Amino acid sequence: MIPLLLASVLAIICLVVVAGPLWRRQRTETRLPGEEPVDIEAALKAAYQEARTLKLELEVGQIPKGRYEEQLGSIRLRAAALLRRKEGLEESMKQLGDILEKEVRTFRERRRAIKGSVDCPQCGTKLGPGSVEHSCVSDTSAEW
Amino acid sequence: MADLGTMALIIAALLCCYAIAGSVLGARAGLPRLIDSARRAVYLNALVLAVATASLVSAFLAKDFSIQYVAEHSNRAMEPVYVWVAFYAGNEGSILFIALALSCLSALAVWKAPKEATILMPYASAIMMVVLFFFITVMLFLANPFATLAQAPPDGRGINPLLAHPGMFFHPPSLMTGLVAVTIPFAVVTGALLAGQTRDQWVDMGRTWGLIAWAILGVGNLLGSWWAYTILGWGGYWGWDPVENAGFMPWLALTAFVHSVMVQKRRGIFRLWNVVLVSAAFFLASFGMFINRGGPVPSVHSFGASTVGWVFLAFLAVAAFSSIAVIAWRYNKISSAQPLDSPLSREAAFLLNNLLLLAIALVTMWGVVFPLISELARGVTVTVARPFYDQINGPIFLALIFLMGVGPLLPWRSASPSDLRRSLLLPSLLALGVVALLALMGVSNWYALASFGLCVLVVSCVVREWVRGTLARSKQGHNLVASFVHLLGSNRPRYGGYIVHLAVVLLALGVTGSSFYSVQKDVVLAQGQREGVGKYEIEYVSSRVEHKPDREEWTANLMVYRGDRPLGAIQAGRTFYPEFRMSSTRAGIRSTPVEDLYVIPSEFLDDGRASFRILVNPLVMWIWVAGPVLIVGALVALWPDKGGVALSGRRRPEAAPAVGSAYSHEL
Repeated sequence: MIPLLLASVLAIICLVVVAGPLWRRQRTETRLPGEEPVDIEAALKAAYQEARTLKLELEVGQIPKGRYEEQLGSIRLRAAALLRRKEGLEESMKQLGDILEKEVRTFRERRRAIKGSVDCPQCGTKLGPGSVEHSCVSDTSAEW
Repeated sequence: MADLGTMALIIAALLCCYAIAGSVLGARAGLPRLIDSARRAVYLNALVLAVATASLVSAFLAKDFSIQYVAEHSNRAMEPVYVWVAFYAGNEGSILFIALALSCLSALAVWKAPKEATILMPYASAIMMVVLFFFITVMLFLANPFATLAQAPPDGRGINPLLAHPGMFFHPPSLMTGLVAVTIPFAVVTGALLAGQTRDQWVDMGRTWGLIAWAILGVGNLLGSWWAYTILGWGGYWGWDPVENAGFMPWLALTAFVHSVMVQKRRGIFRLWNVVLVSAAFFLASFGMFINRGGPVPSVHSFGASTVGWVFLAFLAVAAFSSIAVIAWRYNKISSAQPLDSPLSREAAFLLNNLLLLAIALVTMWGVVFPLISELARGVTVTVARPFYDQINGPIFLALIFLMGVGPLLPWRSASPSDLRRSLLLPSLLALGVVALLALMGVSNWYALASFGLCVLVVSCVVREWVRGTLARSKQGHNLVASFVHLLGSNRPRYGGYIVHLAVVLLALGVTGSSFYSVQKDVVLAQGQREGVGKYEIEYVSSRVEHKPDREEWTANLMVYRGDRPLGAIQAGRTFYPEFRMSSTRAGIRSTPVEDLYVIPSEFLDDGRASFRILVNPLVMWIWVAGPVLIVGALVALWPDKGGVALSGRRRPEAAPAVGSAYSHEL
């Protein structure tokens, strides 16, 4: 009887723990097709490590100064290209964020104009037609 | 306890199914909540299997002989300290141990997964859970450690005498954990292919887990050798037994992988090769578990033999087929078009090292399967013994040691022959000097001379780089010690690897010394009589017999002399276990850095005399010293990099500057 009870408790614990995330608010993850910042960061990290190893090889006498300069130059070029791509990606992400933010605002204003007043989906506060810039504690525009 | 254990196994099986389905569906349908939930199932599996393990251990402690496994592997006379060993002494318990180890490693891998591996992790954890599900299913249907007897016997059979040894607390767990740990890098790599992450997203995580599995497996093999040396009573430490080979082959493939993955990390090449290597390591580990459990070839490790071998063979076949299918599916994306820049480069040295390691693995594999093939094809039972392995693997090992010396001298991308000649000059002169000295001292065996010379070459190459690097750093104002520490910290994978190379040199010294210069003598001595072996004289002083409930122990007290000078007393024993009709020996060993004096009592005669086998094994101590050095090297290689990159590669939030800004000053 006791083993059965213990096993039941174990099963219930498992059920509760596993089911936990399923009851949480759905957070949609949008992934842009193509290159991601994390890939560029990894490539930059690799370039940095390559430069460090190259310096080490120079210090322990495995490569002459000339070849060190030549290879470091090519790593620098690669790193600069990666940084440019990273900046470009960050810029386009920012622009995308701005567009999304703008669309969300337009949508909210349009809905308010139609209904007159709405409840804030985060905190439940009644919002009148004029309260465009309402912000509540749990408000995260990312979830919109 | 039996009911709780069985129910825990059922819950674990259900959790596995949920984790597999949840991970894959969540990843395919883009449902992060489902992936999160499946991840929790992975964590919970470790907890549930720990409950199953606790049930079995407590059944041993309570001497609950109604459980068949407890009755077969313990008795009332067994000392409580051996409960841990009895837990995995048989097939059923060892599978439970393997499942527990895999569940814990899987939970750790999922928990510490780096940011770069986010997309591949659901697939990787699904693969880990598939493997875990296999072990749990085998336990539930074919080898249940909680199976009960209709009537509990008054006492159990007892633990296998060969297992009642301190080495057994660590050797089987580390070997089994090492074999099953290979699942993690395999799952990471295959998960990446399934997720379409065919570039280098898995490299950091795959390397970390490959290195962890490699270190655990290496230590397991070394502990096994130590156990064999001290208890099996034949004076050796490695007999090329099929079960020993089963642990050695995946270790060789992993050694190749941990070298080759550095080329992918550094240069972005060898992608396909690395996938093949890690898959090969997984197959060899699975093959090892099949050999352990199936007992298709005769082995001294018969305690793990069972009838579930065919299930493991079927699992191996399915795993191999699936993995080959995945590699074929992604072949075009993972094959690298970029060639090697030069045949004289570090990358090329790594490739050659890989080929040599795989050659040893293949030769060993052939030695393991040849008796099976012979029996199936011709009905003739043959045994492949040590001379076969020594003759073929010996020269390949020497080539590997040579490469261990030359490889670190080569820079990445390309080296000029003149640079290499200059770098090799001093180490080669030192090596030749030592060889000449040894030849003058009377060492005439070419293999031994070559091995000692190559060992000197490796050490001098490593020391040369450390000295030059330390001096270069000391010019920046640090003292020599700080400069050396800074040098080691500047490239931990590289210098951790060099420390491991030193461990391999120690191993090579021990193996060479004991293989070529061991002296053996069989003697029969009356009490008070002396016999000379090498420069030692052994006196048989006295003996005693102890009758215990489950065994009879004979102990011989011996005194060791050099000339007339006493060096100390040693004890050697022999124990007979009537229940098992088995004897075990305890060698009396006097160990020094130069040589071991090793005494095994063969027989205690009725007239008071005793027969002994006495050996002088040169340099064996260095084999055991290699173990801790290997662990230190692996830890250095695994240690988080500067700038807060953790074990997994995840960057600590407070130390996470944008990569560009953090590194730009270095570039």
